[in-house]
Amino acid sequence: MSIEDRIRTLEEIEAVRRVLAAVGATCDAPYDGAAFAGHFSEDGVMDLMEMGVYTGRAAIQEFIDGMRARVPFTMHYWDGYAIDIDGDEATATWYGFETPNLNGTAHIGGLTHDATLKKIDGCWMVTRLGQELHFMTPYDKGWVRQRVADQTA
Amino acid sequence: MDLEERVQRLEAIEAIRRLKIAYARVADDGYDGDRISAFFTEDAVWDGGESFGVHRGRAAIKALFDGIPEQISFALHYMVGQTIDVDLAAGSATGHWYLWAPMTINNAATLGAITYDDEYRNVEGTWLASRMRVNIHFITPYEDGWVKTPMLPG
Amino acid sequence: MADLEERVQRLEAIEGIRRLKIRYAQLCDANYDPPGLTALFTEDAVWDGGDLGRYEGHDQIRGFWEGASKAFTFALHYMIGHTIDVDPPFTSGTGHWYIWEPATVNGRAVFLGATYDDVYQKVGDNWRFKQVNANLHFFTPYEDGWVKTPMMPMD
Repeated sequence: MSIEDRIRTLEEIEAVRRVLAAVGATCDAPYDGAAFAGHFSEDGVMDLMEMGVYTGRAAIQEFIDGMRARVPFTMHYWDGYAIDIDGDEATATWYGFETPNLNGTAHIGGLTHDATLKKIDGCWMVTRLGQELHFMTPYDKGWVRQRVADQTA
Repeated sequence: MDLEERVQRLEAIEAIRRLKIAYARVADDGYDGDRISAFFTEDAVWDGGESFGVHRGRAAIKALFDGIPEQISFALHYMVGQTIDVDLAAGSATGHWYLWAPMTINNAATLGAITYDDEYRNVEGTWLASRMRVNIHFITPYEDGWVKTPMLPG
Repeated sequence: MADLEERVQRLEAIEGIRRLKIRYAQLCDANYDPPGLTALFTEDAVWDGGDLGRYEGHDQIRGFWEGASKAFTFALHYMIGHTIDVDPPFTSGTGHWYIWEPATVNGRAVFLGATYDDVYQKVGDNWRFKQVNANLHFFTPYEDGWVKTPMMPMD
C-alpha cells in the first residue's frame, strides 16, 4: 500500500468513528429522527431484532421519532469501535451502554452494535445498522433478576 | 490538503484524546490541582454551569480541583466515545465526550452521567484545553437511580 | 520531526493495538473463548490480576480463561478511554485502559470497575499481549455498590 493509501485508511477509520458517534448522539433524548435517519443511505436498513426491522429513511425516522415520544431521557454511551475499511465500504462493531427512563422507571441497557457503511458523494452513510440486546433491566432489579424489561419487547 | 497536513490532523486527534484521558487519570488519582490545571491554557475556562460554577484561568481551575477530594473520595472517569474536530490553520479544535462516572461522594456510592463540550488550542506544539463545558445529565445516589433522584441535593 | 513514514507507522501501531484490545473484549464476552483469547498473547506472556491471580505462559493463561468461562456466565467488557505509547521501530508498545464491566458471576449481577496496564509486542504482522496487568478498583454485587462492598469474594 502506498503511504497515501495508508493515510487514507487511517482517515477513513476516524471518519467512520465520527459518523457513528453522531448517530449515537441523535438518539440521546430528545431523539432526533430526521438527523438520525439522515445518516442512513436511502435504502438503509435498521435491524433491531426483537424491536423490529426498519427499511428506508422514512421508516427509520418514524421509529426514532416514536422513541422520542416514549422515552423522555436516555444516554447512549458508545465506544469500543472496531472498524474495517475496504475502499468505499466499511464495517464496524461497537459497544453501547444506555440509561433510559422507560415508563417512569430508570433502566440500564447493555448492547453490542454492528453496521455496514458506504461512502456516497464523499460522506459515509449507514447502509445497515444492527444490534444485540444483552440486557435492558429496570435499575432496581439488575440483569440477573430481569434481563429484559417487558416494555422494551 | 497535502499528506503532511493530513498526518498532522490525525496526530492532533490522537494528542487531544491523550489530553482528555490524562485529565481523567489525574482526576481519578486524587484531583491534584497543579497537575490537572497544567492541561489547560492560562486563560482557560472550566464551566460547570449552575451546579459547579464557572472557573476562569489556571489558578481558579487549580483551586477548584484541589477542593474536590473533600467531597469526592473515589471516582472512575470513563471518558467515552469522543468527537474531535481539528482546525489546523487556526491551531484550535473542539471535542465532545461522554463521561460515565461511578463515584463516592460524602461516603455514598454515586453515579454520574455527564457530557463535555471542549475547546482546545495548540500552544507551542502542545494541545491544551482552553474551555471545558460540563453538562450534567444526572448525579444520583447509587441506591436511588436517575429517575427518582436525577441530581444530588447540595 | 520524524519523517512521514515513521509518523504514519506510529498512527497505524496505535490503531492496531486498539483492535487487539477490542478483540480481547469481544472474545471475553463470547464466554471467554479460551483458545481464541490465549492466541492473543505471546508464548511467554503474563496476565496479572493481583488478587485475581498471576498466570504466565500459554498453558496457565488458557487455564485462567477456562476458569473464567465457568464463573462468569455473562459479561460485557466496555473498553474505554485509553493511552497508547509506541516508539520506533514500532514492534512493542504500552497501553493504559479503563474498563467498565457489568457481569454475572456465580449467578450474581456484579459491576466491575478496573484499569489495565498492558505491554504489547508485534509478532509478524499482528499485535499481541506480552503483559496484561488488571487493576481492580471495585468488584461489587449489583445490589450493594462500591461503598458497601468494594470487593466481592470470588467464591
